Amino acid sequence: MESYRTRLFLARRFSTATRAENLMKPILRPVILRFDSLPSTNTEAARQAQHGAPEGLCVVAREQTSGRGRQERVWISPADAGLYFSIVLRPESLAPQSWPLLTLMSALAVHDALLEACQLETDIKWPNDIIADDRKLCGILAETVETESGRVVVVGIGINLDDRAFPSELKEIATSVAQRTGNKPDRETLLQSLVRAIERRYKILQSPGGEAATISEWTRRSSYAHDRRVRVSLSTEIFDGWTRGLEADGALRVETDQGELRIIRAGDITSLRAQA
Amino acid sequence: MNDEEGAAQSARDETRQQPGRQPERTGGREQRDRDRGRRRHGGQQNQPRRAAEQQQLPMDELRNLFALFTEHGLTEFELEREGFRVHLGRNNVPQIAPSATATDTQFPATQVPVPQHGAAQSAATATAASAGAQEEAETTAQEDEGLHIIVSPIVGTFYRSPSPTAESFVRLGSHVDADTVVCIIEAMKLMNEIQAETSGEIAKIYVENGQPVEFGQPLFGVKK
Repeated sequence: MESYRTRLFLARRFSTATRAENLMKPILRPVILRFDSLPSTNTEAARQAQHGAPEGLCVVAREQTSGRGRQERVWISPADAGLYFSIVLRPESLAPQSWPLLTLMSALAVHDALLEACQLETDIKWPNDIIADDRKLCGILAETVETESGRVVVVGIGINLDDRAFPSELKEIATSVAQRTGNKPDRETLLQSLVRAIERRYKILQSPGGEAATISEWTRRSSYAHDRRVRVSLSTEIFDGWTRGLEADGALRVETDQGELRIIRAGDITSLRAQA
Repeated sequence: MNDEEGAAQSARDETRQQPGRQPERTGGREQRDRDRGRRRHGGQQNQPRRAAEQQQLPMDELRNLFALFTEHGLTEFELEREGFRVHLGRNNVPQIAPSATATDTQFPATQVPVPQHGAAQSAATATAASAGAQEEAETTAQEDEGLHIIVSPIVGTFYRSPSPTAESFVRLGSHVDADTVVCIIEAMKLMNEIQAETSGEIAKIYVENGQPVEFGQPLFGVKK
């Protein structure tokens, strides 16, 4: 009987051939599952992945009854007020250390789709919030899921289509496509654009030099990349500083007022008015 | 500012991240599947070979193993084939994955916030770990008091529960199976669920909730 095991899942990168071989195959074959209502598209996509769903499976719901964000915060998701979307990715040719770039890549894809389908120019707040006029238009949450055929990443994307997508008490910090453009976008058109944009961005990320290209594109599209006055809220502390670009894995460099360079991989970033 | 999510916090989706409620992730099948998945991640050279080729591990391959072990700051590595077993371990586990020996220049030494009361200790262990990692790699088992060490597969922030107000996934003394989720490591809003990878009892918890962790840093010790 054959016995072969490595006790550490860190033991990756034995093969350099894997990446080249993966480039030969089609990157994504998107299949879209549509639901009237789901507790959460991420939860459903994860369930599908555990039952063998291939890479590229997309789950879309007209409403979510338990939509969620980071650390189980609630993502309000009334019917037809937003685009509630999740996709299953199996980024086998990416080193695990580069998997967090999937969330930055997803933000770029949303940016592309909003520009193409809604002619709406948006900004990206680190790492992956899509904002317009400093108010949030879209949130992205990615989660790893163990499946029979290895680890997958489920990327969930929620885009506010009109103002019903968020409660009125959030109107100072949230916005919608309809509010920005004056028209409620066609959900289907935006969805198709989004899927194509993810395909494109995902292919770039997995190509040689793709990590650096993704970082570079993100930096070009985000006003938060450089010299932005921000407040960093971690679970252990809060401090202010200036953004100083991204690390290779997408982490944000922030120079504190004491001149220390901090590297941020989790936490909330808020914009502060620049102080002279 | 995570804004609308935060301000609208009222209900919870407990369908998936609730500790102890992982109905679709139990049983031996998961273990096999994970093994398969891990081989996949290791690339094609990691595939099992035919029996005839398994009798001996070529020296080149051994050298590669040592190099990888050192390069990635691993704390433990085991390779088993028919009639052949290699186990690499470090003397002083648990320890911080040494950023100095992490030759992957894509991920330079980080300056993530360090817990005040643990700063000195972290620095010390990192220094110790960076000294001659290759010499420390041995072909005999060097486990920390017989504990299986669960290490962080990525750089990120360690969370013991799915949300600040939720129960921890595991506590000291919790029984875990291979597929039990023990924590989440967040990096750039990618939530990495970390599984125990072995069965036993949580005997040590090396990191506090909300703290940054390095690649390969020990998170939990599991007594088998």
